[in-house]
Amino acid sequence: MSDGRFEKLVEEHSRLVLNVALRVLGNAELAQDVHQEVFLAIWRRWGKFNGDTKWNAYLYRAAVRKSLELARREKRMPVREQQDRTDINQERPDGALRTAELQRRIQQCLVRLPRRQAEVFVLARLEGLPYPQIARLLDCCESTVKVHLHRAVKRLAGQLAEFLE
Amino acid sequence: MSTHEKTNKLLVSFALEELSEAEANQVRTHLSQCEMCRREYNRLKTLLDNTEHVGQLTTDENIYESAQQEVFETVKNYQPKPNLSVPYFGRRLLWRTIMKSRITKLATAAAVLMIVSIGVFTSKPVYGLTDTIEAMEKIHFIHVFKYAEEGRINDEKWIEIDSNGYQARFRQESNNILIIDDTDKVIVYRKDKNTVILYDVNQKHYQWIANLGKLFRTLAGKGEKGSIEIERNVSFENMPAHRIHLTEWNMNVYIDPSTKLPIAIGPYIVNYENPPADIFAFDIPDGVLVLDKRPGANSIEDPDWMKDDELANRDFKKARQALAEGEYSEAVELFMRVVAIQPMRNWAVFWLGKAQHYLHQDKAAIEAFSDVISMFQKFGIETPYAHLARGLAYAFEGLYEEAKKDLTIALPVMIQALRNPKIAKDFDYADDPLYRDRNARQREMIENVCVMNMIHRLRQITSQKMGEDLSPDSKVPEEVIAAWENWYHTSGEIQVDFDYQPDLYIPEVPASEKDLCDRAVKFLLQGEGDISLLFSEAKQVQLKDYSVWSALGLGLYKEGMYVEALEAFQYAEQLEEKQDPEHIYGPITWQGHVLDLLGRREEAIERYESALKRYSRSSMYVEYGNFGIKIDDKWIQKRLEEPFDRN
Repeated sequence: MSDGRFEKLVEEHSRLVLNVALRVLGNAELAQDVHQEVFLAIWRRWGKFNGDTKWNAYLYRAAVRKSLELARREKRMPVREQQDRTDINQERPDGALRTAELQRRIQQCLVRLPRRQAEVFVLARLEGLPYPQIARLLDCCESTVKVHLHRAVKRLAGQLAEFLE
Repeated sequence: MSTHEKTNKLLVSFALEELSEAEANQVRTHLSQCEMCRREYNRLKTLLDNTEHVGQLTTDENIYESAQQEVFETVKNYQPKPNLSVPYFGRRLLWRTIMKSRITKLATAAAVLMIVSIGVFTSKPVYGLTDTIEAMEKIHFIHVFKYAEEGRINDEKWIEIDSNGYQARFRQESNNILIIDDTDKVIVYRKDKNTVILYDVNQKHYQWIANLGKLFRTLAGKGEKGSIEIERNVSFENMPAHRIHLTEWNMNVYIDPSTKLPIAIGPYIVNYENPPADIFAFDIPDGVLVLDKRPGANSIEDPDWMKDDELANRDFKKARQALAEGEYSEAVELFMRVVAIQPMRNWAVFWLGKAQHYLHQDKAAIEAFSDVISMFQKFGIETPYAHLARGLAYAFEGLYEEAKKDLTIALPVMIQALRNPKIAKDFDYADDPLYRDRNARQREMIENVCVMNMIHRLRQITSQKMGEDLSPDSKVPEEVIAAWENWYHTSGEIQVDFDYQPDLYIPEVPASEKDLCDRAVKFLLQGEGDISLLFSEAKQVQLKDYSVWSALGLGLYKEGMYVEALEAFQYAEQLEEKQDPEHIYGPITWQGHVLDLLGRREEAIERYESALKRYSRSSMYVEYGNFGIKIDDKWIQKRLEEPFDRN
């Protein structure tokens, strides 16, 4: 193995990669698959990385892309695992079910967005990153980030209209 | 724009909390009054609120630990497997993914069982075009040549293929000429003239078949019926082979059953060995004249033979025009001048024969057509259109036996063309010396009446009357085609109708469109003319050629007239939708470029996304050599990330 640097990288950034994957995929097993793919891809090319690699940015991008890629490969979106959290739609008796269904559909539509729009949407809305940081991660300008995000939102709202009424 | 429209555009920004307080207040005020906007805003808000809770994080801390351990375990056992098409880890991951559910485990087991049992009980898979397509993807070099009569190698070409399947470098050598195109420069060594000429790739570019893989993919897309016929397990030169007959070109391709690669394409033999070292290099021989025609090079006066060639090219163009306009005597004179300098220029020889035939100089016409037939027979290529022309010339000269021989050769191809109009292309080209000057729309018009024109020719050589009232505006009725086929199978007798003049449909080339084409290209290549005037004229005549609109767009871009350039590229897009949809991503991307230059980034992004959607196949690209731009999916993706910049 390496001189311990690779292990350190994995230990320090596992959480970041897994969390991104969990947010996109909503499934722990698939998230672990993403985690594996991301780090093993780095290991295969370990000798090519120099000391200048900005690992946070690199791993964010890789995690988002791999997650979306894996989601597209899946024939059907995995059912969201049960979580402890506050439901939004509490006024209707079936609020929890309805919310879970909506979120599942959001995930389904998310992976069908154009790649760039999907990436920006994940980073902005799922990861909650500010636009300047997203712009740095994706190597583009802020205005481009905004355009992609707006289009993603519009498109998702259009596709999910009946579930959003 | 109304308040409603303005506010509606701000709804997403409002929902994302991007607006200033003043703007947000405006939106709130409008929302209180507009139910439609309120509903839309509520949808956006619901979406965004629910998105925050999509994919909540796990509370199980073990997941992080186990994920790390899995990585370390796999890395410890890692062995690189470079020959696998799927990365080692990917395959392991795939298996892991498949095996995670009971249902997929059973399904996978069943699939494996089925594959094994198929393997046991059936013979090896039947050859299909996709086998050749896949095999072509691994090719790096193609070696192509013909055998001359005495068994020598002739017309030899070496082609290097890049990772996208397109030609990277090209080398062609025959008795009199050596050409090397290494995508940086083009070297033409005229051995017969002891001269080397250097060109820039934007001035001259040589290629054999641009993307051989694409040819087979296209054929596969068209299916086995109609455009191709596959005959499996035949032989080629005493070797086992599959034969693909390309009906459109009346040509055979032979496939090696073991490698699935072509071993012969038409008259060419095809190999795939690595070339000798430095095959694409060239040392200028001592004592040759070197002409460097590249931009910026010191120019010396062209030698006489080159000036003669230029003259011949100009005369050839005038001669075609004269023939099309019925000025046969002038056409004969001009074609004879061309042939005196370029005796092997087959179309010059052929059309000389046509002009002479129209002047009732059939002895001379027969000689011309015979020259053309011989030129191609040396390479094993048949020219049924030339046999038709010579057959008619023989008939009008009273040599009926000779006429019958030639027309009997042409007849079956002419009948086949009724079902496969593309076979008729050479016949239409032979009857239309201005074909190469026509724009895409006119060529399409001619192609649409291929069958009608062929029936006219058949009527002339058979004296049969089927298809008397055909019109270029409607399709030839099936019963007419069937009647001709029936006649051919039951009779097929040649009988020239000397009084019948085939009423071939050949559209006129509108002078203004043609002139515009020439001037647009001239501006782009040489900077001559007024592009803004050209643009106005193109709009006035409602130019219908997408390629000219693209050229105008590029010229306007060059001059910094971005608004006009945008308009030109939009016209190009509209027309290219019908005429060449496969490459429509080109003008769409250019619209993105000029929109970026105009500071309209949002619209530019929309154009790039649209271009990417229309980019149908990897390894395609459109090259704009004059601007050093090659538009493919990677280029468009980059434009989505950063705006286009002229620098």
